[in-house]
Amino acid sequence: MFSLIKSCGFEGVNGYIIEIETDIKGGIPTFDIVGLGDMAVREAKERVRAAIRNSGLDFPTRHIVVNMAPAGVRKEGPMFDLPIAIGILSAWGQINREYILDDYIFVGELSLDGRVRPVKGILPMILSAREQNITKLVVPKDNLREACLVEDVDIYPVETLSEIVLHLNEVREIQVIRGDRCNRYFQDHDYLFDFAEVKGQLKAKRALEIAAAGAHNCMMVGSPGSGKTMLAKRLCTILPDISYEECVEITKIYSIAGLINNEMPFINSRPFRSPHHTSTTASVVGGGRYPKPGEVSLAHYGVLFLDEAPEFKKEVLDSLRQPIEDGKVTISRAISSVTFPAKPMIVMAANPCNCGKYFDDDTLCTCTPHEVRTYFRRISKPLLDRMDLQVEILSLEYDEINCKNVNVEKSEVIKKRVNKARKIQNDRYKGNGIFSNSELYPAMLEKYCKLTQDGEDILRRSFEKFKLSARAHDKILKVARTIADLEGSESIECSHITESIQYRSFEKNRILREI
Amino acid sequence: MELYWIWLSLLKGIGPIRQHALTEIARGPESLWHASRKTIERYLKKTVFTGEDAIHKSIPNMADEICSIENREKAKVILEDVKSKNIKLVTQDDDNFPVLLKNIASAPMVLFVKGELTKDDFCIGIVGTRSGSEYGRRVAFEIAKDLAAAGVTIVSGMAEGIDTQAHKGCLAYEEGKTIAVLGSGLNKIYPYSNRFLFQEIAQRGAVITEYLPNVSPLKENFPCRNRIISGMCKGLVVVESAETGGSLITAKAANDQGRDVFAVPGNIYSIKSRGTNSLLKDGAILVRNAEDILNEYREKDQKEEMFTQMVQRKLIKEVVNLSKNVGDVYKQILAASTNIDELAMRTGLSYVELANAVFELELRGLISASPGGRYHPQY
Repeated sequence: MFSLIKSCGFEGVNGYIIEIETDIKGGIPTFDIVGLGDMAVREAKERVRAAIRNSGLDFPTRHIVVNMAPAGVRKEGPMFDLPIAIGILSAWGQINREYILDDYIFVGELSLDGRVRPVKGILPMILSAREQNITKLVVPKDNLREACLVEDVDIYPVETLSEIVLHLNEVREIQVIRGDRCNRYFQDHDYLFDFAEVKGQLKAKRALEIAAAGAHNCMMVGSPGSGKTMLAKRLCTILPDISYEECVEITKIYSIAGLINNEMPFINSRPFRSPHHTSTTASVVGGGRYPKPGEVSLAHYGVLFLDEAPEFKKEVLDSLRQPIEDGKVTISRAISSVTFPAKPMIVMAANPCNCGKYFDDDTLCTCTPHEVRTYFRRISKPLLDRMDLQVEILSLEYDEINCKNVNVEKSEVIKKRVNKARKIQNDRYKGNGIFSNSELYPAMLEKYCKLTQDGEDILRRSFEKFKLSARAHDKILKVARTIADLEGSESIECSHITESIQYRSFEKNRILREI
Repeated sequence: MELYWIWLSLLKGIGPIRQHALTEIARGPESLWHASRKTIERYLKKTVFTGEDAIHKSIPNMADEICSIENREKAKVILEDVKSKNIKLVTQDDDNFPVLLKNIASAPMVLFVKGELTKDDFCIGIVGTRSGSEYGRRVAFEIAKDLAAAGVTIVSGMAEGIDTQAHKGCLAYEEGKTIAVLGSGLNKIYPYSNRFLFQEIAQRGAVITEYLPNVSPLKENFPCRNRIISGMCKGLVVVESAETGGSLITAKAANDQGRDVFAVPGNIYSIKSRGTNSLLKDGAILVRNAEDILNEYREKDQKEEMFTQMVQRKLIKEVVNLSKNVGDVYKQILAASTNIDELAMRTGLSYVELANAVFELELRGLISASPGGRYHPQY
């Protein structure tokens, strides 16, 4: 007696179909699962046996072999419990065999009493099933809301094994739920904080606005208590709106990382991740024996905020260079290599020196010039170079905290501008494979960042005056492009260039130059 | 002759004072080189000053050192190196050995020189902490520049911070001449970040040291080096110094050598001005600008004539062709160093307007930004 059931697994952020073949024949009662399963798959035997018995069904005392095809691919996780159980029941004739099981995909973990438990990676699995035109999906009830994110599929949420058996035997139907993009979940967020709460710090606020508009990496250097973290936290309130496609891609990553549940079925806003500075390389870029996405992938299309950046381990910071450049992380293991998308906007915050007073009151700073320099050297030059915007932040004085003179903008107002600028970029780069100014290739700069004669003049003069580097040239142009977009200006004007140069503080204001 | 001087500086345990005495007795280092051990011991005994009886015990060691063949071989190697690197040796007998320096108690027998050293330059030393504040760095730069304009040679230690600014200020005046006294050999530039400054000083003045070319910048060298800085100068200006700063050692040496000690007053709460403020309390001459220093050396009848070269720098540069906004911003910055937020508060301009205004001023060289984004009038 033989049966064939379809299920899904995932590797990286992509799902793939797995066929589960079950053969039952006479002989000494055994139960074997073959096909490169990991520990969780091998242990499925015990869960399946108990779940079938405790659901009031009959577990065959025969020679059972379950094969998971393709047999050459490593499979992990407990989501195959349900399909294995269905396979056995089907081969043993407890499920109406005329019913066409080929249409279905089963995913779920079983508990010993026959309940179906939620699993990781539902979203990528369903997406891959839809690609194969399989639209009937049996998933754990607790994964329902996540599964609903995919359009044009029929979801059968199950709570217990007996429920699905009754359904397949056409005794009692399970109510089908149609995937509907969950548009109703896309609502405006109410944030607990607002940019208007940050007093002063005009330059930093403006820099973050530009960063959000063009997805530029940004570095803030300032004294402790000057508001770096406060500013960074409010960055989410001005990030451009997220699209459905972006949302699905982010949710896929969260799904396989097991960070999604029924309360938060998908990620409907740009993620903001701020790993602690004691984080390891594996946790930041991803890794593990069965590779899991790291913070840089979890911040995909969102913000990766590194507070106290110089305190991070050097190798952790350096490992960020490849994802920043390629927009993805590839983790290679002996068995296979896995690629996770990783296109976050990186925001770093740092103190200016060990004691932190170097900017505010250099008469009180107790660091030697050497210490000031080496403090920053912990962040390698190539990484610093990738920071498009560099801002220095000074502590506020009382007058500035209480100042009524300066116009304070609310996050909404800024967000509107950001959205507009991002839309201009999306339209401009349609078909180029990029979405924002920060991703511009050097070859594209000439086409999209044309300068006026005056602008070129100013740029040349500032290069001589401030001794800027060649790398700074490209960054200045990209940032100037974003500033122009924020203003809705087609061409890059003089004032855009001059403002843009202000954000090369490290080179201009000699933080990293000789003392 | 150079070979013998190098050999003499190589000897361990024999300092400049004893070296001096020995060469006096032996009538030059050459005869010392050729002398027998017996003669050397006799010479050494003569160099022992009264009250220094303990030294008698170490005379055999010193004699060993002088007789050692190893040292002579080493001296030959160093001589080759010195010649190939274009380093000059200036001994006390040479014409261009600074006269003032010759007269201090522990004057070095030999100076290794890169550049040109002259006998009787009018020298003023400017020293201060390595981690100078914006204030100190500015004062050092300005005073050095103005003194240079008055024809004064600026002597300093080429350390980071104040010293560097003093040299740079002097070099900023076209004909400014400056001398750097190192605490290491000329092959070991310290701090390495000043290697370009080193070349510039060597071209426009001199970099000198009493140490052999390959001596590392050891901690103990610097207090000794300081006596040379003060020894070369008529007066020493301490710009900014903490309570335990090395500049205070130089100030003490200057005082012992009978030089004038000047100090720049600072904020009483700043730890980097505690040293200078206590110097002032102890009787140092207060310095507000170059004029204060020059006045000390101005003969009554000479009044202005001697220093006609002195260029009065205009604090407020002429403001031409500045638009209203930019002019307003410039006035604010001239009144006090400030940052963008304060400017926004005082002028009521928007951030973008301000960013453009400060940029224009920066580009014109009217203001400069310090780390942290504070804007200062350009000095």
